[in-house]
Amino acid sequence: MINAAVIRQTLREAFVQPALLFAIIVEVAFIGLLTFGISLDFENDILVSMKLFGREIDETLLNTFVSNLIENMVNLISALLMFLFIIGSSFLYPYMLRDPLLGITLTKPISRTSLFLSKYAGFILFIALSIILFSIAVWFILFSKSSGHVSDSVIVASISFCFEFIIVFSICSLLAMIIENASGVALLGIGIYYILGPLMANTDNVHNLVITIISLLLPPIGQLSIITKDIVILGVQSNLTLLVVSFPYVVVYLAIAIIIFNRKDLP
Amino acid sequence: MSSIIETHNLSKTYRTNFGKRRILALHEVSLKVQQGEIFALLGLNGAGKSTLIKTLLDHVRPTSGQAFLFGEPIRSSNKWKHRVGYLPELFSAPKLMNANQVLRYLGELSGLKGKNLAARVDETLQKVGLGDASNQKVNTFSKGMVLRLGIAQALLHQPELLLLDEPTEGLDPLGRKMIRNLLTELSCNGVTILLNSHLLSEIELVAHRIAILHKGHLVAQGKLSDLLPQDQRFEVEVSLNPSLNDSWQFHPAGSNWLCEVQGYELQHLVSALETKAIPVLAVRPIRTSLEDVFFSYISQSSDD
Repeated sequence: MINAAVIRQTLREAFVQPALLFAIIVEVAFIGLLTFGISLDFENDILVSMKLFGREIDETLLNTFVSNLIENMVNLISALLMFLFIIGSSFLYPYMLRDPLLGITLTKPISRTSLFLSKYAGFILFIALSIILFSIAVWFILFSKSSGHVSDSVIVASISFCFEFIIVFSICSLLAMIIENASGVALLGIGIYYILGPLMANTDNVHNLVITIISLLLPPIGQLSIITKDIVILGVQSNLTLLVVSFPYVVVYLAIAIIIFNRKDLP
Repeated sequence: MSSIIETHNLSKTYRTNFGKRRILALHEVSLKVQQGEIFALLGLNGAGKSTLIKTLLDHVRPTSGQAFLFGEPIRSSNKWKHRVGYLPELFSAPKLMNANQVLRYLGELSGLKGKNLAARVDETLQKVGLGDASNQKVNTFSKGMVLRLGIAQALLHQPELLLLDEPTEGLDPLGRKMIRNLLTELSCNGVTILLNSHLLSEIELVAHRIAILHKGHLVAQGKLSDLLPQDQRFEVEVSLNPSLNDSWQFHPAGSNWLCEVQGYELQHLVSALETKAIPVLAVRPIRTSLEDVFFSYISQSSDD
């Protein structure tokens, strides 16, 4: 079902995607910031001083500052990376449909379903590698700077972030098969993730038919985003079942996208 | 002899503007291509040639009718995919890959592996004259080199059937000759070839049989000799204007006069000239080219 050659080719294509290259630059810059910009000092497992670009943080503000800093950084980095990943993923299928090699690829012994899923898997692999390596690097830097006083929540959060992306990407894939336009998919994907998702996360007590229908059609993206951040900031890992609950949505979205792809006439 | 390609009343109508506008691309096209044949599809732009090839490859779903490859309906299985090579019109490859990488990728998709894949890539690149450019990036290739790469990928897995959409478009005369020789060699080895081309003179040199498509309709198919007019035309050359009846119009050609006649009229004309004591300098058969045949069928079809 999954073709290794297509996965490798998708990885190659992802490496030259401007949005994804920029995401890697953001990750490297953040790692550089942590490596060279922050210095931590622990005594008996307690953070006693912190220097930010050589400037000492006031001892009385230390705890509040650190928690605010972590929260802001997590919010900023996760929002920026997801933004870039959504843009990068929006190009995958519309470009595939216009790829001059598509016709040739489909005369090889590979089905459209297999091609679609292999592209999906290849792209997820790229994002997962990028995020997990990034989080391991962040964890390692914090571990070495704090002499081991750091939890593994960063790594757990990266896995949660990947699941979040898998769900968002399935929506983008379906949209791509329907509208075949990368910019349109990017705009809709961003709108769903940054506007509709958070809105729907706060409608538990709202009784409205339209909102009920949307909440049935969309996976709980807003709540998933909150979970990922909670893992990093609070170390809470209790609501991971929500990720599992969201997976039927992925299956349904991909199944519909594959049906549409299978019925398309190639240009 | 077994049919490698067979279509029965194959039709395709494209719908645009949310189904409001319909474009007829193919209308009840039925044809058979036998093993080892070079079968050429001729037609003006938009005649349905590429649609026919795409329908055979299952890239386009027919509106009605059936298509068979190697005796099996194309939608019944993917088994035929191991046996088919395809060159699309306007072939292009990922610009940042080199020729070797492109062929390796497509070879892997065809099921080739390891040393066999490497050997086939080298051999095929040599065959199409790209042996020295195997590590060159595609974005540095000329139009002709890209096309040669396209032909290489179609041949890579040694298919039994080749579907080539404009295989000589953009090639220089030397490149065209190379492709022509290659197609003849493949055909001699039992490979069946279906090709589209606008270059009628090229087709005439290689094709065993041709089909002419016009506005989606198959207006003629058969051997070139069968499609040529049965009645041969002749050119008669004399030294004086004989001023015969209206049906035989002579026109000056240098110091002599020429007249074109149908074969059945030739004897009458020569007799008439003898009666007037005008010596016949030469009688030459007029060769009907594929281009003449093509335009004759196209104009007949348009009149209908």
